[in-house]
Parts: sequence; structure tokens; C-alpha cells
Amino acid sequence: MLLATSKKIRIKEFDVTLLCTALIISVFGVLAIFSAVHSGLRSNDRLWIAQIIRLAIALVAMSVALIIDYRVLHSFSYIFYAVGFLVLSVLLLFPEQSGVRRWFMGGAVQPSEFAKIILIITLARYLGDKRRVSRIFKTFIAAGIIVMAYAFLIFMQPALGYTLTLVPIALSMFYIGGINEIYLLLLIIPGVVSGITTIFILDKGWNVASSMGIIKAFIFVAAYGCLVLLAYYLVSRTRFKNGKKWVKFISACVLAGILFALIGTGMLRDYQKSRLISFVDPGSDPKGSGYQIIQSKIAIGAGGLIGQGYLQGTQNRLDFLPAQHTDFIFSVAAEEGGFLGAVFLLMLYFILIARGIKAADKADDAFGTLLATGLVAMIATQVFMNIGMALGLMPITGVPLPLMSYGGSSLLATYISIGLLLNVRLKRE
Amino acid sequence: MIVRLGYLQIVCTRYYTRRSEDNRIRPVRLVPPRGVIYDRYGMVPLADNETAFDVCVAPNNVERLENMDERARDVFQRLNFTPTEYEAVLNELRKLKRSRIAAFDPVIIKEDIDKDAAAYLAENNSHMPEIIIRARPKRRYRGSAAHIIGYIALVGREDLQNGYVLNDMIGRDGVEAVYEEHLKGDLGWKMAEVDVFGRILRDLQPTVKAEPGRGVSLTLDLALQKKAEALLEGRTGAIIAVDPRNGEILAMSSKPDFDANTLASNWNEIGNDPARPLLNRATMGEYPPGSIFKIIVATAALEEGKINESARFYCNGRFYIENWSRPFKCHKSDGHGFMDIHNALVESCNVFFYNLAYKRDVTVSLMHKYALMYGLEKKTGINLSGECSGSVPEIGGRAGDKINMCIGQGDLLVTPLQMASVICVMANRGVSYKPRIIRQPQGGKPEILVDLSGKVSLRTIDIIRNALMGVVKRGHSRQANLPDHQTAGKTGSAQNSHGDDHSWFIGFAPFDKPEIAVVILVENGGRGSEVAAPMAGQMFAEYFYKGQATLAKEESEE
Repeated sequence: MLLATSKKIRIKEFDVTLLCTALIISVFGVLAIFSAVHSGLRSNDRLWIAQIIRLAIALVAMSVALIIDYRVLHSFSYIFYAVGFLVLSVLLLFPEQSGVRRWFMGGAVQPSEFAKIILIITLARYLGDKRRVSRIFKTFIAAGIIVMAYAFLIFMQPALGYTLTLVPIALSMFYIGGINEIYLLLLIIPGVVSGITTIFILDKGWNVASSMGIIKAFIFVAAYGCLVLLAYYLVSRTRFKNGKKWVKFISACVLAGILFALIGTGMLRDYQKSRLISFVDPGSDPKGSGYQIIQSKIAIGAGGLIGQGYLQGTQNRLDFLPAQHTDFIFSVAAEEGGFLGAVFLLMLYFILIARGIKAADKADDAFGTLLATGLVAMIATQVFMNIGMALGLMPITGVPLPLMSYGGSSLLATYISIGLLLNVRLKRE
Repeated sequence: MIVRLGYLQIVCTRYYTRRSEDNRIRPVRLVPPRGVIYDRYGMVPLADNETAFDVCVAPNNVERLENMDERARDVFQRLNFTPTEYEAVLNELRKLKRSRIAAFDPVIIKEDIDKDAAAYLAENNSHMPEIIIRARPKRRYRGSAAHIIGYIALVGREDLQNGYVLNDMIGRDGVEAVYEEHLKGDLGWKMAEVDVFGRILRDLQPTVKAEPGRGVSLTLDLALQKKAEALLEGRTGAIIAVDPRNGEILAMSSKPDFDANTLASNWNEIGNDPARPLLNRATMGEYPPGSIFKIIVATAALEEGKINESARFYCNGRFYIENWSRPFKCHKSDGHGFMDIHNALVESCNVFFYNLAYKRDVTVSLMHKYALMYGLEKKTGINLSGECSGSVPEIGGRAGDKINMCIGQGDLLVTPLQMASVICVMANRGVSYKPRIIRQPQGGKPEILVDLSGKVSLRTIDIIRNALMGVVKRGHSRQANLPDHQTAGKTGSAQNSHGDDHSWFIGFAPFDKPEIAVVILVENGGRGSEVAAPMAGQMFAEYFYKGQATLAKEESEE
């Protein structure tokens, strides 16, 4: 039944490049993990062997995801969603392990990884089913609720990084699913603006509730107002259609974001602020914060053009680099492989993502397109968040690097995604 | 992202490479072993070095201590950390980490743990990489001659200008201080590759080798030194044994003393002890000399022609002075009878010396002149810090001054070491040498400290010398004599305001060819003949029989 024959298989469309790229990255991953653990703290644990076993299991899972008719997922999606919801809720009832509740069986299974795939399947089905009424507000709200329910449960673990990865997934699927762009902009602009403003305010240590803070905030808003007036003036001189309307709309959204951030941070107590900082930057205590980022940047920078050579990276070998086999595996690769190695790795990820987008493009139905879109967005987001973190461009969020970081759940989820991407491109009615 | 990679890895690579090197390459101090201090035979160390193991943790690893597992807890129990101590250590580490000054550099959290614990920690290091054991040379004092050897302590702020670096040790007293340059050696450095825990993984070039400190041999004879310390045990006082032929100190003990090994941890207790254990009474203690000063008074009287060898005074046990209601007593209440200078010294007759002062005009300034001739009121210049010079009154203004001074009382103060010089003058018939504690290499010429030739006739000296022999032959101090070696000496019982008399004995042996001179001082010990003289006898016995006499005695007792 699972291997339904209602679809033909287009062997020509089997994406060897996607599969091979994933496998090559995985091989690099095992090599990097070997380098990360071959000396120092974890030298006795033989983690790379565990990773090879997990890779084998992941490949089996990928084969299953490849062989089944992906439309089966369509019919089971709401049941999956309900099960996932239940599991994530139950997870919150477990006692905390070092402050968080992310794992089952002492860290062996991370439900969030699989919850994301379930969410993508469900959202693909919903948006696919509703594509005729996709532009109405009700669809937007319903789809939003589907996402927010999972986002909330993952956020409560707490796992801010995982929660944040849901945002690009949802937005890209909303967009492809035909949700009205105005609604998306209503989400994106104030969200981005208030995020940036909050980080800016916390970084500068402004206390908006104080009189100096209010003056600063006032100057801030006033400067912003001048900018808007200038933009309005410039746009009114051009012949851009609906230009004034757009300026009004965008500046209103931005203002909403800024005010939200100002009021939000103004209402925060000091301890809440530091909690927020450590949310964004969980690995660091507030006083010695940035240690991981600093060490990661040192490792990458010391790699230079051609790198220090395999197994030779001192930041890695001497354990100065924290979590070097999980969150900072990219830093290991960049330290030992240098600029050339790191760029090569980035190219591999680029190919992986490009082939994934191609799969979405080539899918035969709306469900397949949306499914592929969500999966690619998921992989791409994690790659960007993880490498961005290693490069010091983004805050530390604890998102693993797909296919490279040590960890079974992430590897399994990524290969299931790749199996589905291959699957979506392969099948036709 | 590629731009960022290029920025980090190509534009800024030199900066980050340096940061990376700063992380992993750390200069490590190579502490040289301090020079060993030997006794005079260069065989037995009095102060040497052992290996001490310190437990260190790099401040940036404090979280790992906070989240310790059972095994690590067990380790801290082994190290005898109390929960409060443990918390204090954690707080200190947190503070250091926050200060960001060398947060990677391990700091000592427990010094000098026992070897079993160190071995256990080293074995289990892979489970607790943040706990680092570091070996270093540690000074070990063998418990003898604490005041002479002195001690070492951590450098103070003022030493940092003199080429010392933080955590260096510096000699603070005794030979350790005086021969600091000789003993300390030169600190070495090496560059080492360390991991994030501060564990040294391998050495890198370049290395500046540590230059071990050079050793010194003291003049001390360890057996004699130990004898002196045993004799003084439980008392307060000083014993000096010196070779009169060259001024070498064979033994110098001051009690109470201290244990230099544990001084640092008991500093307040020892420093505030009213018994003042840090004071080297042999060189820094100032006491009235009592009757031993009569040697100098006798020299003055004979040499200035105030009396001759046969001049006699009658002692009926008391001496009256004008305008003084009470008589001054001799220590023999019914009197010594007729006394000449020889007998007066042998019997230590006070009345004879009162007569010299009042009837033969031996004035305070005259006594002062001769006292200075014998080297009083002047430091001997021994190579130990803090030596005192004592004081000798020059003009007897007050009525009691003269009568006090002629029997070595009053404002007169001397150190035991000055008395050692006085008895050496007697032993050498007119010369004494500057006391030395460092054994000179062959040919090191003794430096003359006191030379009476041309000032005091040999005849005068021989009169007094013979009297000193008489003291141990037939006087009070027969216990200071030996059956087969003729000794000579003088007792003193110095009155003082603190209680019983200070008990003095100074002497030398053998009489004809002196090899050893001793000074015994027991604070508030009582009569010199009863306390100090027998101790001198034991010192002589130790020197001449090398402990065999006591050995034989022990055997016969068994």
C-alpha cells in the first residue's frame, strides 16, 4: 500500500548530484568529527565510529523516505501532527537536564528535529489543500496557528534556536503557498525591525525606562521620522506606482517594530534582560560572554588561506574550541581546511540547497512543491544559522550543522529530508 | 558568508593566528632548585629541596568544577577540602575568570599535597583534565640551626624591582637572606604547548634553562649543633661554639626557635609569640654579662698598674660604700677571706672587684676603654643580619654605676657572640677572629677582630687565663672540665629585672692549644656554675669525644 503504484517513477529525474553532495558532506563530517575528538577531552570516546553507524541508519531511513509514495504523507499528515504535538507536550513534563528539556533517553533522541519535518508535511498539506483560497486572511491565520503551536512547544523547552529556524521555513512555505504578500510583510518587517532594535538596545545597554533612555529613544524615533519623510518626498517625485502607499505601509511596519522593541525592553527588568541575553547566547555567562564566539573566530581566522592541515588545528586539538564536534564543527573544518576548504564546503552546501530548490520546482503537485520548499528552507536555515554563528555573524543558538555536526537525530532528520526531496522529484502521476 | 570567511581567514589571519598562538603557547617558569646548605663537612644537608605537588586549576574551567561528578567530589575530599574552603576556591576562580587576566593560566588551589593524592590525581587526569598537578622544588629544612639558616618567603612588592617576578621565593633571614644571590639560582623559562585546561602537552623552543642555585657549606658541625640544641631544649637562651683559631662558628643555637618548614602557615602565631622565637639570641640578644665581665675588669686593673699579681684584699662577705646604707654582698655570705686576683677570678669574689673600683680607682671610663678593646659595643660583623652591638656605659655619673659595672651589671649589655670573641681572645692569648658561618675554601684567611698585642701584655693575659683554668679545676665550675682535656672558663650569674639570674658560661679547651670556645647563656637559668657550666662540659665532651661519651653512658645504663 505504501509503495503505491499510482505514480510513475521518472528514473531520469533521480537527482544523483543531490545524493552525492549529501554523501560527500557526510564524509567530510565524519572526518571533521574524527579530527575534533581524536585528541583532548573526548579522545577515548570514539565518537566518529558512532557517527558512521548513525550515518548507516540515516541512509536506511533515507531509502525508506525515497521509496514510499510521498502522497502517503499527505493522508497521514494530520495524524503525524497530532502525535508530534503530543510528544512535544509530554517532553515538557520531563525533568530538566542542565536547564533544558530537549531530549529523550538521555539525549539519544531529539524530537524537535522530527517535529520540524512533521510541521513541514502538515503545512504543505494545508496550504496545498487551500491553494484556491490562499490569499484570504483566514488561511493565513489558520496556517499561522499550525506553525505557532509547534513553535510555542519548542520555545518552551527552551530551544530558541530551533524555534527561530521555523520562521524561514514558515515564511518560504507561506510565500510559495500563495499567502497574501501583505500579510507576510506585516510579519516580516516589524519582526525583523524589532529583533534588530532589541539586540541593538541590549548591546548598548540602554535603559529605555530611564530619562536618558527616553531622550535617546526620542532622538532615535525622530531621526527615523526624518528618514521616512525624506523617503516619502523622494518617492513622490518618481512615477513609481503606488509609491506613496508603499512608503506609508513600510514605515508604519518599521515604526511598529521599533516601538515594540522600545516598549518591550523598557518593560524588562534587569534580570529579564540578562536572561534574554543568555537566551540569545546560552553558552556564555553574562560576564565572560562571547568566549565561544571568540574562540571560534580565532580558530577560523588562524586557518588562513590553506588551513593548518588535517588534525593539526590547535584550537581544535587543544580543546580551546568549545563543542567542536557538534555546534562548532564548521570551525574545525575552517581551521584545518583554511579558506579554500571552507569555501569548498560552502559550495557543497550551496549545491545541496540549489538541487533541493530544483526538486521543489520539478514537483508534480502543490503538496510536493510545498513539501520540498519547506525541507530545503529547513536545511538552508540551519546551515546559515550554524555557519553564521561560527563566523560570529549571528548569535549562538545551538543549531547543528546539517550532515556534519555530531548527533544522530539531526543526521537522521536531514537524510529523511533528502530522501523526500529525491522522492518528490522522482514521482509523477 | 564567503566575504566573512575571506575577512577572517585572509585579511585578519595574522591577528587570529597570533591569538591562536597566545592560546596554546604559554611561557612556563622553570623554578631552579635552591642551593643546598651543608654543614662543615659538606656531607649532611641542613636545608635542601624536595618535590612538592600543587593542585592547579585554570580559572576559565571553573564551570567544570561546579558541575563535578562523584569521582571529582571524591578527589576534593581526598585533598581535605572543607565545603567552605571549596566554595572559597570557586569564588576566587570565578573572580579571576571575570577579571579576564590570564584566565587560561592555572592557579594553585591547594599547595603541597601529599604524594599519594598527587599520584591518584595524575592517574585519573583524563577524567578530570581541569585538575592539574604541578611539581616544583620545595625548600626542606632539616630542623637544625633555624636562626642561622633562616627561611625563604614569597617575594614582596619591593623585591619586584630587583629582578624578581611574582611568586618567586626570596631568602628572608639568616644564610638564606645573606647568601640569596649565591643560593637562588636563575629562573628559567620554556615555551610549552598547553591545552585549554592548562595541561602542558609538549615543550617548544626556545628554552632558557634554569640555573640551579649553588650550594654553600656552613662552618657548623652538625653533631655539635644538635648537641647545643638538645641542651637548650625547653629553655630560653643561646649556645655558641667557635673555633678560636679562625673564628669559625661550630655551633650556634638560640631557643626557642621555629620550624622554617611551616613558618609561612604559622606566621602570625610565631611572629606574635611573646617568647620571640624568631630572635637569634646569640647575635641579637643583649644581656648583662655578670661575672664574666670580670675578665675585662681584671685586664684593666692589671694593665693600668692599679694592682699587681700579688695584691690582696680581704673579703668578709660584704662591702660598704660611703653614703650607702646597705652593704654590697659577696655571693659567699661569710666571705672568701684574703683574695688575690687569681683567686678572686676563680671564686668570682665580688668584694675584690668592689675594692678595685673604689680603692684602686678602676673607673667606669677605664672599664669602658678595655671593654671596647675587647670588642664590646661593636658588632662582630658576622655574616648574619640583625646583629646587635650591646652597650657599655662610658661615664659613671650615678653612684651605683661603678659598683654595678665592675661586676658586669647595670647598664652594661653584651651579646653572646661578643662574649665568644672575649673568650677567644683569652684562648688565643690576645687575638680573636671575626666569626664566620660560611666555610671558606682552602686558604681563606681569618680576619682579625680583636688584637690586644701592644695594648695588653701577655703576662696579664696569662694571669687571667690561669685563673680561668682554676675556675674549672677548683672553682664552682668543675663540671665544665673534662678528664683528659684541660678546659678553662668563667661563669656569670647576671641579675636582671625579669626573674632568676641569667646563667652564663664562657670557656675554651684544651687549655694549651685551644680548639674550641663555647658561650652558654640561659635566660633566667639561675647560677652560671650550676646551669651553664655543666652544659659547657657537655659541649666540650661532644666536641672531643664526638658523642662517644654519651654513647658509652647510655650503654652502661642499659
